[in-house]
Amino acid sequence: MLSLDSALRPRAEDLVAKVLDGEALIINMATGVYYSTATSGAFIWEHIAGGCRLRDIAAALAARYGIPLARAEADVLELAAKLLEEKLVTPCEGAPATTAIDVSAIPLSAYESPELEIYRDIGHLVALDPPMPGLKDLPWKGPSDDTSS
Amino acid sequence: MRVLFWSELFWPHVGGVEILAAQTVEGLRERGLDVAVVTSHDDSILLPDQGDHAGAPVYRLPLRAALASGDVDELMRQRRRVGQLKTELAVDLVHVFGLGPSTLFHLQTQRAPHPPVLVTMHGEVLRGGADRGDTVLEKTLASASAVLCVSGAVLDATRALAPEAAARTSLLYSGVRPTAAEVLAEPGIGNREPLLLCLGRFVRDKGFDLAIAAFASIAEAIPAARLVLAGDGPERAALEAGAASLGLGDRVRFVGWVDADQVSALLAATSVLIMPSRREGLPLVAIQAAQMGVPVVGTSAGGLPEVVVAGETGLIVAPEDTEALATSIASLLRDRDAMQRMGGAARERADDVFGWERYLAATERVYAETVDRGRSS
Repeated sequence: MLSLDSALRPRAEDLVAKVLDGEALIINMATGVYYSTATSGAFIWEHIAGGCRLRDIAAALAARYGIPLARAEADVLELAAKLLEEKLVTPCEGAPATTAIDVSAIPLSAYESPELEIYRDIGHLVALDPPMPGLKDLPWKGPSDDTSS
Repeated sequence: MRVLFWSELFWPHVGGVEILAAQTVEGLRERGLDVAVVTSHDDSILLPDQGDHAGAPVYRLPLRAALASGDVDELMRQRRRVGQLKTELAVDLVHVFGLGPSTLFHLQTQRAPHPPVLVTMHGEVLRGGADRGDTVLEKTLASASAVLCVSGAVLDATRALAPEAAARTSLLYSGVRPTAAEVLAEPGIGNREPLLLCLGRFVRDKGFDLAIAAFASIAEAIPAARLVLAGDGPERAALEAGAASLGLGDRVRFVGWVDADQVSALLAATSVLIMPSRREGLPLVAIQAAQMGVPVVGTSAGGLPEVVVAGETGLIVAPEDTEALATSIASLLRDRDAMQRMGGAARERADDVFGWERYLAATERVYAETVDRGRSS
């Protein structure tokens, strides 16, 4: 049961994930599904991956952005539930004690609730039309294409 | 008007969409539009990062390789490059000419304010479904200012998939640029040795295995008939093995990829084009055959019946019905008058419905309307 006292950990065996430029990009290599979450979502992902309890992440968000704690907690729980549903994270046994999060590291901008963007059909689109022809099969010159530059 | 023409792959990659993309860029350039092509590299052909097509710059980025790599740093790096390119090009319109995995990079670099986006849907929507809005397909449709569909079948499927985009979605039949050979040629209807042709990628959707199976029974009844398969692809070995196992010998020939001039010459010698497709958007080769007065025996898949009017410009059978395919082909080969009548009707209709200048003019008009709407919204 997911609660603010939960801590989660990424399912590292299946995932490639990184936070860059304020955005978390997550690829489930087992399913080929791509995920991205920016700003507050990236912050939440980063600290979930760092082993923090959801309650501590919410408190840090509320402090940094000056939003009501209740809203921050609801947003954190909602994103965590999505991450669980997508099997990107798994409950972490033996949740750590309260963790202090350095909120000064968060770039200050207008707060937006986290969104998890999902792209489920990348693998399907790759498989749709294999590129033609391969190099060895190319028997002709282009009609007007100058590819020499 | 300055247009970013986004194409998953681009010439010299081939396939119906890639050929239409290249011809469309040529036609728009001739009409004076300032077009820049952004496309993905693919490991199958080594091409420069920047080229030129009919005066349009072509920017190739390793987008498919980045997606295949699972390397997050590389994905971010390519995304930044796409974003920078969009900024530098400062276009009035982005035209996403068909969807592929690289469309992800377009979607993720749409930062407000951005120019209006026109999307052309080919056959993708017939093969991909909705998934709670969490697909490149659905997100692209949701974010498009306007959507063009290449056939009525694609239009219906697109509107069913994205009803909220229905009002922005319309039909524009593709055109095929006629060559001199197509204007002058007489089809090979009068051949003493009837030539049946299958042309395209050797992928399962094209159903060329069904054509070979059908030809086995035709070959018995019409000993002079021959079948040529032009193209290549992952199914080639299986197709060749299938023809060999049916004892068809040299009456079935695999001629590999043929260039644009050879396509015209091949069609000019063709009695009937066979399109046993399992799935189709709007097959250009069927339009090209019609332009040359070659009747088509095809299936009811996707937009094929919109090119081939059953009983008027060719014959239509159900997908996977090899027996009906063989019967229809044989009936045409035995009735030269019907072949000529259908070929003539196909040519006339192709000029009316799939004319090249009509297609270009309509595309240019949609560009202007989409940009105007973008300005006023």
